[in-house]
Amino acid sequence: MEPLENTHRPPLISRREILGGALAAGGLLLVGCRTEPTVTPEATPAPGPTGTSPTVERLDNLRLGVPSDILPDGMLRFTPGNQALRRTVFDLLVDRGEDGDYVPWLATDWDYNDDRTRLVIRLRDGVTYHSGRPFTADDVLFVVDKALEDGSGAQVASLLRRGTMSKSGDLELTVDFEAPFASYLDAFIALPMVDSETFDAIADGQQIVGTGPFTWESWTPGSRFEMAHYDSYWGNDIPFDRLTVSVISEPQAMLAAMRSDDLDLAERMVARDAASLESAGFSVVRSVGFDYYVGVNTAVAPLDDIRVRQAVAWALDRDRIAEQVFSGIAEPSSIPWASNTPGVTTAHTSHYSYDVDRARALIEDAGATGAELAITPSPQEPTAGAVADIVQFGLTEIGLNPSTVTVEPAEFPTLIQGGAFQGLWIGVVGLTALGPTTALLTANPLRADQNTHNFTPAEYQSRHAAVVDAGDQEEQAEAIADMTEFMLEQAFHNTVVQASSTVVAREGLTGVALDSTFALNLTNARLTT
Amino acid sequence: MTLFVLRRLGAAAGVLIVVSVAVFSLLHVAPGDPVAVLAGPDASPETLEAIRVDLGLDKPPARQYVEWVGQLVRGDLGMSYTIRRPVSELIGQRVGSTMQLTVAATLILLALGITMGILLATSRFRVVRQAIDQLATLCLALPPFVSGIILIFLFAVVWGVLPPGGDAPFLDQTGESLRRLILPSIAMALPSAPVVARLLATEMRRAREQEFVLTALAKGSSQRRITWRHVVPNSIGPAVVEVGIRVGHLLGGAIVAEAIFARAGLGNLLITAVQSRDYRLAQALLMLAVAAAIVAQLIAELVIARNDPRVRLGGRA
Repeated sequence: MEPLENTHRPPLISRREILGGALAAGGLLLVGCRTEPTVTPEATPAPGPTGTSPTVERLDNLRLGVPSDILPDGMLRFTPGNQALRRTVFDLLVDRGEDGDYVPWLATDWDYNDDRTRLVIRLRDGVTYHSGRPFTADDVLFVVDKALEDGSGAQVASLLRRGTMSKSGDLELTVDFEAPFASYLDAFIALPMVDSETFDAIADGQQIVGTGPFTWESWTPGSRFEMAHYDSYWGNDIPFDRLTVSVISEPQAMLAAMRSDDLDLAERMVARDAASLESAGFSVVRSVGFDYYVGVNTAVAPLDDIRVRQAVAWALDRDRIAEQVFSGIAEPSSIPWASNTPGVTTAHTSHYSYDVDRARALIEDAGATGAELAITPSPQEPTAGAVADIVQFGLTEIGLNPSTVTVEPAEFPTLIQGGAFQGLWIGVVGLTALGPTTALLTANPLRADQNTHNFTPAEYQSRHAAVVDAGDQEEQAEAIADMTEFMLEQAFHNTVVQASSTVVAREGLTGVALDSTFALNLTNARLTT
Repeated sequence: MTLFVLRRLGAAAGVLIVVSVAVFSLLHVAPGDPVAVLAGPDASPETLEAIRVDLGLDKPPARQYVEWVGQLVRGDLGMSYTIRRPVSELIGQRVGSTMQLTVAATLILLALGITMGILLATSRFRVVRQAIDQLATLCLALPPFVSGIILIFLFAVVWGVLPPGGDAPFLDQTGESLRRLILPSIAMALPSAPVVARLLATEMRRAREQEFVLTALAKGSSQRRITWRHVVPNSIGPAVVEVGIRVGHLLGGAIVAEAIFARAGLGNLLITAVQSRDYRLAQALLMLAVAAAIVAQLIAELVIARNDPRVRLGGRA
């Protein structure tokens, strides 16, 4: 047996010293290893609002947070994940201003002939892809061909099919229409000008080449992607050497990252989090509105009765939804399109208010008191659950018996595509930001012959055709007004708010914008001190 | 022994085949369609069909299963439907982050569990023992998704001394990588540490009543010496076994921690794969998890069999 020792040798280093050393090392680890972007003053100062000249800084790395990853294989589709790429790596042909007019981008100007059956588009000279190859009319033709292919999934293909595009010069394109079509350029607000030589390598994200202000560097799927400053960009010199985008799916983690200065920008934050950051001094840029609605499956009883549908529309507390769920970053509205859409009036946007008595009377008249009604909130919208709670409360108040149905994110698109909801659902149509014609042609809930609402009477189809076939703006305004009134009366697509996408920026970061397709536009962004 | 190994390998292969059928069937039977996710809600039936053909999802499920298993046997995990990269490459990119997190959480679990256990068993002050006991109860009641948010709020938002999440390349930015590991690994270790602590404390109290400890006391050894030289070494075994079991739980807990702390690990990848019904990716991840458990079990059985002829001979000894 080992003898028990009773002697004690003093250690070379005392425990107190070890503890002190460990604490010091931990402190150094905590503080010393922080990697924050460095800023250097730029030569060109920007004029300040009070006559002073704040210094524009050159940032070595702009850090952006986004809630969902990119989908390179769907680059020509209008998907939320790709919004961080569409105007950073890529450029678009045209943009749309706040007044709804088209704004030149890679296309400098365009003209219709007198009977609006021919459109000539002229392209910007001196634009190059990141590979150094010049951008020409052939590239636009390539993008259009790819968008029109089966399986491209490009929503705007239905707009492109209305015309035939051909090359009429190195930097000029001609589009011929069988019948006048006013919304053709909408397609180019949403289509990024991808590179024909590297298009096949886009799908796995190994090589993504565009003409935008940033070149593609790397992608770790589900985690981050990085871009670098493109020195030969045709537009403004953007004072950011790199753009690092982190995918942060948890809203709490995104909020914490902004508050702890781990990010400079956060895109598509939950509205209440964006509002809380705004009150803490961050700036919040809002996009144009898009349709946030309560859909109705008109093939399901009792929703096949117009009185029940109208009762549902009167039972939606839009003001409460805008205030409580969206913290004011949304406008209550009864219609899917923006209030400045030609033909739309205030009477349309505010047609339905929260009127329990009127709704209850309609339900009693239809003999639907106590009827069960399922509500399926979109699992892809973080606010849809909260909206469903308010909707459920309103429906209970008017004598219905609603319940919430939960589905998985992978199931919801199938239900939208197949019109297979049990009753009501809560979702969004982002394409309404491009106007009624594009939305009616491209969004499944609003299509004419087959849609998610299973609402396809001849009256709807004829009005649908009137809007999309309108040759000029006056004709279009008239058709939109008629369609809007019909939709309000039939109450199958009950818009609750015009919601906005957001980008939250740290203090001093100005000029950040979201375009009409919610794509991040950094071409005028500046960091000033 | 050879016969035993062959028998166990055969059983393991059988389990893997059954699991592969279950994993394939469950994912395909679950509502949701990868084609619908890829194409988006506004896709037309023509677009859906074109993508379905492109991905090979138009084939009968039995044929898809046979093709998948055939690929697995050849060591090919297939391509991700949504990311369009080899599944093996995606797993390779993520495994490091999850392993770092699990190792760091295990180290914290050991440090915290053993310290609390020893203090619980040896402190002469009742107030200290009670405080540790209360702390253990509190930790036990804090799942990672709660403690994670509290830790982020305190250390990242209020005090600003640690980043709220994310990860950095370990070899290129070791310091930054370690800083980003601290909060998630603490959040993961907190609920497990009290279990280890209480087990260790119980074992230490039992060991203190053993004759060799009483002998050491009679010979005049100090309390400290008795604790460190005799009680702890004779009590730590069950606690270490418990830590081993907990490591498996930590790997599961990584799914939650990776989501809260925005880390690019396997857990996050699995969530993405399941949510988008990326069958190939989800199937591969689930099969890997099962295979890892089977291999661990196999190793344990082989070790036991080597030491115990009754096990080796299947009860015929």
